[in-house]
Amino acid sequence: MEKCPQCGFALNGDESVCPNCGYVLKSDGIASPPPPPTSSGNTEKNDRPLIPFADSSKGFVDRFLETVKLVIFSPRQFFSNYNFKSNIGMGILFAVIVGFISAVLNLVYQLVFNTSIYSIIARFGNIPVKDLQFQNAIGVFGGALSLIFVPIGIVIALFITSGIYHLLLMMVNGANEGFEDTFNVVAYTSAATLFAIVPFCGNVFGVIF
Amino acid sequence: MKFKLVRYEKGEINIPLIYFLVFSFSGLIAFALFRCGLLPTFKCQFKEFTGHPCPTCGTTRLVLSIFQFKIRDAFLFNPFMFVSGVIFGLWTLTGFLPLFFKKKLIVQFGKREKKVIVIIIAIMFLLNWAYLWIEGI
Repeated sequence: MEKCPQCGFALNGDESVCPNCGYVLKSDGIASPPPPPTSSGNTEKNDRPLIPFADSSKGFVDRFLETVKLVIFSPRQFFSNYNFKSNIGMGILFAVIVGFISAVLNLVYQLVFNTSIYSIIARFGNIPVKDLQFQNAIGVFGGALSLIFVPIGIVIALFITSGIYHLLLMMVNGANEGFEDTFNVVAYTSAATLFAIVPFCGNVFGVIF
Repeated sequence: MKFKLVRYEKGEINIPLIYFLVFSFSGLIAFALFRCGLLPTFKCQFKEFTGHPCPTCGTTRLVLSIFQFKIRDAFLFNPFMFVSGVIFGLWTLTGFLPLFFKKKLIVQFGKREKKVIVIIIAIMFLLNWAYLWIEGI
């Protein structure tokens, strides 16, 4: 029995196109050349859709929100269905945006809660309010200044983390995909840091997630 | 184990060079902070809880010793991390091959070789940890 050279589907012999995978079997009476020698696994992986954030056909905000939604609410679907072979530049950009947002959120919470805590301490601790306000102002100023270094820190942390993960995967024969895949997985996982939106326990929950 | 120089394809990501740049940059920042006395100190949580060193204990002191150009002391703080760092540093330098020779270095292992290397690394790792415990690092 004749079989499709692409997917191995059993054929009657009179089809011009494989009914299973759409491979062109005969074109104007001339049989098409056999497909390039690729393993079925690779073909399947290359057919996977691009990560929404790396898909430039959509608006920037839309693809960012779609990716965040997928990572947080459908992680299994996201990490098994999408093609992580995309440019690592997009992964870096995603992680930097997400990390910067969570750093700003942390700073805002620090400002809000420190101010209230300081005012309570000043009221009950018999400490001049001005001294505490000055301490708080220095803390906030330092925090705001450190935001400049957040993107640099994120990029460094991304490379160190993904390097360690990839090395460990290589040791257990788990690094079947390239370094780009490991890097992108680590980069897109950073969406969990957005749990910082929840005060007090958000950061801890993000780490566990 | 085979070392091969293969043609570097245009558009390929030069991972060793990226790592060279990332670590050189962060190393320079850390050195500048160290010189200004602003480098924050880290405490190992494993050691805090158990009272014994973790397998990577001594790495911060290793880096600080390198900043003071005390290479022997750096090695003694954590030999495994020191040797790993040197191998990693040499690997990052291969990132310059595509720039000058349009070639990249590939290291190929056989299945058996890979197993042997993993076992050797695991033994070295455990021996190093034992050394850290004995020396109280």
